[in-house]
Amino acid sequence: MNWWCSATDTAWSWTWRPYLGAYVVAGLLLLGYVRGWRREGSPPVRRVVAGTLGILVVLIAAEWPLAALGAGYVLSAQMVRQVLVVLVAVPLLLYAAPVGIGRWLDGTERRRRVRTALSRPVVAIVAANAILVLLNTPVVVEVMIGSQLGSFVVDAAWVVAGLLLWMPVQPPRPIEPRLVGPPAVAYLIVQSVAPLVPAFFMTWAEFPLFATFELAPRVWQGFDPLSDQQTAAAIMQGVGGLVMWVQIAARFIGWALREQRRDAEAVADTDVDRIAAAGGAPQR
Amino acid sequence: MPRRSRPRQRPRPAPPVAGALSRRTALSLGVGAAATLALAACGRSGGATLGQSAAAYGYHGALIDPPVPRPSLGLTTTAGDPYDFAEATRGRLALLFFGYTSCPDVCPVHLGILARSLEQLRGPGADTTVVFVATDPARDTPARVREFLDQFDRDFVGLVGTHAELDAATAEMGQAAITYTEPDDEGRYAAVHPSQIWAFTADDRSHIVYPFGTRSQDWVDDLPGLAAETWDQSVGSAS
Repeated sequence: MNWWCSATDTAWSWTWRPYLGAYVVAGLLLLGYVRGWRREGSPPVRRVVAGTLGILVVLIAAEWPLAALGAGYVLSAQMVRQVLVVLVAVPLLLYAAPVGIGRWLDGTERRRRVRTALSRPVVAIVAANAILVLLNTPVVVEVMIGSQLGSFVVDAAWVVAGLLLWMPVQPPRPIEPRLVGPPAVAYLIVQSVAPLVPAFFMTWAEFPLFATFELAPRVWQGFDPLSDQQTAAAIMQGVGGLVMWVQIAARFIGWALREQRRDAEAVADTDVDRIAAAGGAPQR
Repeated sequence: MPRRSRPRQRPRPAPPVAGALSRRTALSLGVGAAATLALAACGRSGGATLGQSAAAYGYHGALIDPPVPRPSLGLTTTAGDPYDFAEATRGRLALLFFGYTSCPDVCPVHLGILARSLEQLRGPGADTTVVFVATDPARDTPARVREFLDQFDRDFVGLVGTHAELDAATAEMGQAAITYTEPDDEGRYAAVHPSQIWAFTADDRSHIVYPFGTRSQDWVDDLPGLAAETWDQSVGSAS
């Protein structure tokens, strides 16, 4: 049994080949989150659901067949994994994170300063996208996915990129998000634009860019490496973009509703004051 | 067609025989073989040596010395007609590959990359004849070979023959006879066959082979040049 996925020299088989590391990582996450939630007392059900989903997504991304396909056969599968980890699992896990994690992050002045620095929007945009672009360059892909350790490092780097990307708008409780409302929306819009650069090259390249995927035994005849590369770019832009825009829309709607409620309350307060000043009996 | 003068990338190795070997093993063997041959070549002055890089000619493959004369092969097409490779492709660029339809990795990948490259070509090299010799007579019926090749390109020529005919064909190419691995529990076995593709040029000889690992970009770069290649003596001594 392999501990992590990597490119292999064998023809693709639909026989289940579990990756031990995927279960270890998912198990450790589950253990840590359950302990953290217990210490909190009774966290809201939606956070428990989000955390469970996040751990499940991590397991799906790191386990056969998706991980095996992505690491050595089909670039599109690798891109699905990237989207799942960076744009789905990490924000879910941050949202569901036990408050102990947030308290630990701000537990010392040094940790708090590092966390604050990395949560600066410009830093997060530059760092997250530098990692993601680097992880999608042919040189890095060829070097890394040929070994289990290299492939694990790629997956871990996705998590780091995801944390950098989401921390400004979705830090673990009780840390207050650095960006809320329109600034958060603007920040996420910028983050959704950055992947267009690698996706552009993958879409318009005349030839497959990644030797590993071009020379890999075919999983589906007819799905050639160039089509695979273009599909991967579509996943990066389309699916990744969709996930980001759902977040953007949700945050915008949430902010708009809060503003509307605040305005309504302000109007109600004004009416109450006016009636009281007129000597009437205010009714609320 | 002017030959490009720009030296190509580092040469790709030419594994002498692979097939049943795994993809990565074949590549590793190829790299090792090429490194050994390259070292051997360093000790000589002038003349080309087996496995020498074709980069001096602007190609990605590996040179073979002496060049292999265009063989007749003496096999039969998937339509049942006798096919004389030397006659049918005389004076034209033709690529020759040995493989089998049950091949899980090298054969379909090699052929798929080649087919896609030919699709991209316009002009010289676009009409390259590709001939596939089926090396597993027990399973490679003419119909199955045709169906297999049609997945890649309907113009690919498929050749079949008996074991004896295949032995004669491989001998004509200076290759060891095709062998087969022991069947596994499910009766699956692999054919051990040459994994490189021979390019026969207008002089009716193959001076260059393309091992597994040759990419689309390499083919698209090389085929137009090979279509007009004269193997000029002034660059190395490949002819």
